[in-house]
Amino acid sequence: MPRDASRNLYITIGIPRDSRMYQRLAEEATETGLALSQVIAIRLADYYHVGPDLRSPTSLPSEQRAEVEDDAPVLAHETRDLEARAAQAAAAWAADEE
Amino acid sequence: MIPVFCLGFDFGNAETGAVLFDPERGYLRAVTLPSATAPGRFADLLRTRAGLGLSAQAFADDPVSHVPPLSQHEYVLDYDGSEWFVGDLALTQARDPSSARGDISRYWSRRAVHLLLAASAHLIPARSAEYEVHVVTGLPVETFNAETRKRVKAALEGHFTFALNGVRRSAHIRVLSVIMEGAGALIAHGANRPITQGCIDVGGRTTDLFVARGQQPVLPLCGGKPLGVESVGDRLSQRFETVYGRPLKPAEQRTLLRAYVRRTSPEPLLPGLPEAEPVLYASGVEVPFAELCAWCEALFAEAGAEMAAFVGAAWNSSETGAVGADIAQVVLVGGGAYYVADSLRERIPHLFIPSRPELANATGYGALAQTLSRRKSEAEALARWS
Repeated sequence: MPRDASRNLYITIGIPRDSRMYQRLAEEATETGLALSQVIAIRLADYYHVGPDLRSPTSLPSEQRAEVEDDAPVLAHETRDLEARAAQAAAAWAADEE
Repeated sequence: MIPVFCLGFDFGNAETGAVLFDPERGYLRAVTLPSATAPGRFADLLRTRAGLGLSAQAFADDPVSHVPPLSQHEYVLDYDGSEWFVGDLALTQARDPSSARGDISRYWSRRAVHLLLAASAHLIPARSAEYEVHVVTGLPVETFNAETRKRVKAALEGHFTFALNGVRRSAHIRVLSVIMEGAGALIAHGANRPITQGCIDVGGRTTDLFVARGQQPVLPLCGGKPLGVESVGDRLSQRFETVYGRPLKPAEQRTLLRAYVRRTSPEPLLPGLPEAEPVLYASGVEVPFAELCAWCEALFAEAGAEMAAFVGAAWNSSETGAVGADIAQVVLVGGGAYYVADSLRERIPHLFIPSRPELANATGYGALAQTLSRRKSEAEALARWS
């Protein structure tokens, strides 16, 4: 696919070849079949992800709550923290996936 | 376009927990149900209920004036040419319900598929007749290895067409990861910092210990023991049979244990339970609930001490007898958390019990499924773009 410089930013970065980071990126690229640049872009997207907040059950509109088993909260704390821990766990368990 | 959902699926020996996430918006809803299934026909059930004045047709015609023939948590699954009562229905309406408790192959069995289909179809609105669901689930520490992970993935993944309570559904299931039980609870309720944190997961049949630095497992401190709430239920049933001449039925055991928790807890820990105390009979004689509660208290004290000894042996950090003292935070989860918290807190003062401990693992699995699902769709978008 041709580059579209008006839409995308293209940058050159340097990563030490003997670094642990490069090793992990290369492993993930091999595992997923993606280009190294794509893996880097995904990891950056993960790190800076600013999606809509995870919502607590009580903030759901009534039509969505209709099938909730009960209203006792499953998540009692900041859901953004949950997202951060899930991202850490994804990294921790990815190494074990075949 | 087929809607995509993310699901944390915790197929416990006694109870199954499932937590649904939207790939973008996060937490949606959760359900727990007994892990039991039994052969049972939807048409027979409707016929029986019609005899009780609960008509499916009358409810469909006028849902305001009529009671539905099935309650919200009754499930009949029609899949692959067989019909099954799932959850409470299996316990209360079938002669021989089974959860394959203690059989490690249960995690990749047809029963696991049945529970997954019933839970996902219950949580995902019926207007999504066809749906795709990205699943993360767990295996007990003692069962977890590359081979068992592969088996779980192979068993649960696929395209399934089935009916739940007579409504046709079509589910495309992808298993994004199979992790250790306990890891889900630390995703749901752990710390964000790279501290050493532990989880005690007291289930129906086993107690599992999971320790991680941040979210990275510390394997030497992870382990399991075949001791859970159901073993207490079994002992209770044996004592009941010795004294009153008959064993407790599975549904009676469950109701009794939950009523005991409700009676002894300072706050309503188990939401959605009826307030009324169960009334049990043996040979026409009513058995005093207070007597059964006293038995429960003694049996849970014994089981709690046994669990505390197990945790102490696994996490003993000094000659002083301090347990888990080098673990910054210890979370107690699983359905058994309601019963043994006091016994364990005596040995581990920094024990933390989250809200809805029975859903802790499923919640973490669901959050992980959401992260992995988002990552997958981003990778696919990038692959299309480059």
